[in-house]
Amino acid sequence: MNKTLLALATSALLAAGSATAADLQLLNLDNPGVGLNDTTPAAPVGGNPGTTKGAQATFVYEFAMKMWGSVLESKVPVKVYASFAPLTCTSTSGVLGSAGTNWLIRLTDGVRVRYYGSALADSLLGYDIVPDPDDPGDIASRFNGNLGNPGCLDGSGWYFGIDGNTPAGKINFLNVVMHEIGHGLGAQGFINKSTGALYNGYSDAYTKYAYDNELNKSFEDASMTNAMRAAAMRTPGRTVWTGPKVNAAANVILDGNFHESVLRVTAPAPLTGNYGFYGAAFGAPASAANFNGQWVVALDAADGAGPLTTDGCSAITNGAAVTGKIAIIDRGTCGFAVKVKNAQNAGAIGVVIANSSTGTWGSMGGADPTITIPSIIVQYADGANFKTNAPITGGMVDLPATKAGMDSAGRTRLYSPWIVATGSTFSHFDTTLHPDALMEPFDSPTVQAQYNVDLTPALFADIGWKLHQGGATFANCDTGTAASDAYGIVIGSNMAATSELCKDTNALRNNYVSCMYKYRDGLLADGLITQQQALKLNTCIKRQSDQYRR
Amino acid sequence: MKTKYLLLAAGLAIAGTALAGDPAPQATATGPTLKVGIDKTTGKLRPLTAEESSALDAKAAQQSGDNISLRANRGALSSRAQRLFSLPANQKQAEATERTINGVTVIKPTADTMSELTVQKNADGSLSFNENGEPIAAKTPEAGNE
Repeated sequence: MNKTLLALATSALLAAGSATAADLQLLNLDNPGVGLNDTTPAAPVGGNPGTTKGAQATFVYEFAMKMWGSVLESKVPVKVYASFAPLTCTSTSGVLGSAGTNWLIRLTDGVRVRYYGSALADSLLGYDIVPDPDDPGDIASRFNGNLGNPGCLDGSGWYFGIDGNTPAGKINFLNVVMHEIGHGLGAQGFINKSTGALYNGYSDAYTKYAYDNELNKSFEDASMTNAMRAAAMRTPGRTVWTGPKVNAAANVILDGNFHESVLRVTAPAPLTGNYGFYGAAFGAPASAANFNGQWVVALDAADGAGPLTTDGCSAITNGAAVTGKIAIIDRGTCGFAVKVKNAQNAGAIGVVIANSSTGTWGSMGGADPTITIPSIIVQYADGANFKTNAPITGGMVDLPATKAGMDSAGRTRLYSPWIVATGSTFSHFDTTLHPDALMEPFDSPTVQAQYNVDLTPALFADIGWKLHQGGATFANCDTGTAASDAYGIVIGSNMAATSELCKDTNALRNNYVSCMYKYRDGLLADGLITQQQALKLNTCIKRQSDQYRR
Repeated sequence: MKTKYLLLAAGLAIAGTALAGDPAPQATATGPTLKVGIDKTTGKLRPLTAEESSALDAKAAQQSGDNISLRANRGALSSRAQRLFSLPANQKQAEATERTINGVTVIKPTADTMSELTVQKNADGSLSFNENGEPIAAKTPEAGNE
């Protein structure tokens, strides 16, 4: 029997009887006086007692790691490389941070060999698989300690509080750290986002649950080619998650009655499918009611207004062909509104602008209140195909109402924008999820990671992590509040993390108790726990305080 | 109208790498460098504008296996951090890191698999977030008026 398979099977049995919160350990890689060691004075804020900038960043970092540690179980410490040294920045933009697994481990479940991030693989096998003293990290992470300083996103900066009360213009450091470490713990697919190729020829624990809902194939299906996977990853709504725990939770969490329209070509056959598009600031919005039919190339004179016969900058010359149809016109030389107005004058019912090879693809600006027909702009390559193969049949199609961020079969959408974004495509939930999720590819002000990490624990469970069941614990005391419930509410984990940090920052028993009572009262006041939960929390506070020397 | 250059049109081919046809690039220490591009109109080499130079740095950093942030701020990182944060630039370099420990095969991920979150301040003071320098579709890009 393959050794890794044997180990994987054995560890699963062992794990069934254990209940060890994961211990995420911060390995500070910063120089003295820099980043996490920055001694610049800072006033305590939002539950963060640190009095230097470095101490505050370290506090949040450790708080995030304790939170994830309470959610997950592993008897192998998870070592996290950490840095808060300055990163690339200008006065208006900057790198916030980055993270990911530091090693990939090749394991088999007896059916298929896959890569696993080392933190997950360690938890599955029950030992440190890469005990390399020169490179011991399981996760590499770093964040920009320069943010908010002169010349680095001036006027903004991190919010180091852990209470979620992020001031306008500031960035919640806890949310960002929770998100990025979430990637390192397993919310990370290693497939090539542009080519669809598997990493070094192998799938991975995350890609296992990716599914193409147009071809109805798993990304691991033997008949799924690299090109098919690549196409799925650059078509919104087409790449979805089949993991049962995420989808069960999403079905409860996400809003219903989500409506979406797509641009669909139905003929000629080689071009059938959905295509990306943006609308215009003028004319009617394109809809299934007003944007359907045959698309033909509109022709005009190559003249001073525009050098091409397809740029639509002059009056359309093939009006008979365009009347009652959707006109295809090239971008360039004159304004979008000019082109659409010329098409409208020729009797077109709508316009498809074919983007230029170099133009930014986005919503079309311009204004002309006399324009009534709808218009859209498509990508350069798609536009070229449409012109070559015209006439095209197609238009807008209204999809059945779904949950916001799920497909009609109840699978959760992964981020698969029309233009591949290497670091974002695939390894995030889609931006159509509502409410916003922690693992969407941007920081949303509605995410409150200190209490709610929504679908992320379910994702971890799907890929193989064992989640802490029941109440979060500290001081060997069960708080009676779930470390993480099925929907990602992590108030119990927040309790355990807060107790640890109240303990670490208060040498005296009374101060620890005061810290925790203040915290408890805040939870009660915000309606986040019941009186009964508060009483159980009291018991654990007492248990922890008993460990202080009187 | 923006002038287009072959350097950019070719997907930001790296001057030093693409022109010389070098083998797989390696991480290099930061220092003053001369960068040139080929003007698409004249076909001649010319210095890059600041914007082109910056974009080139970013791409070069990615291709050299450094993260953008690591390369630009190498001096701010401890030598240990520089070593530990460096990842293979490509699959071939990653394969060179593969080893078997107690019967289990392990390998380093390539640099482009790391998530990197960036932020941009908009004219109205609001913030837009991006990962790996790519725009996030949550905010609709503006194609302008032409």
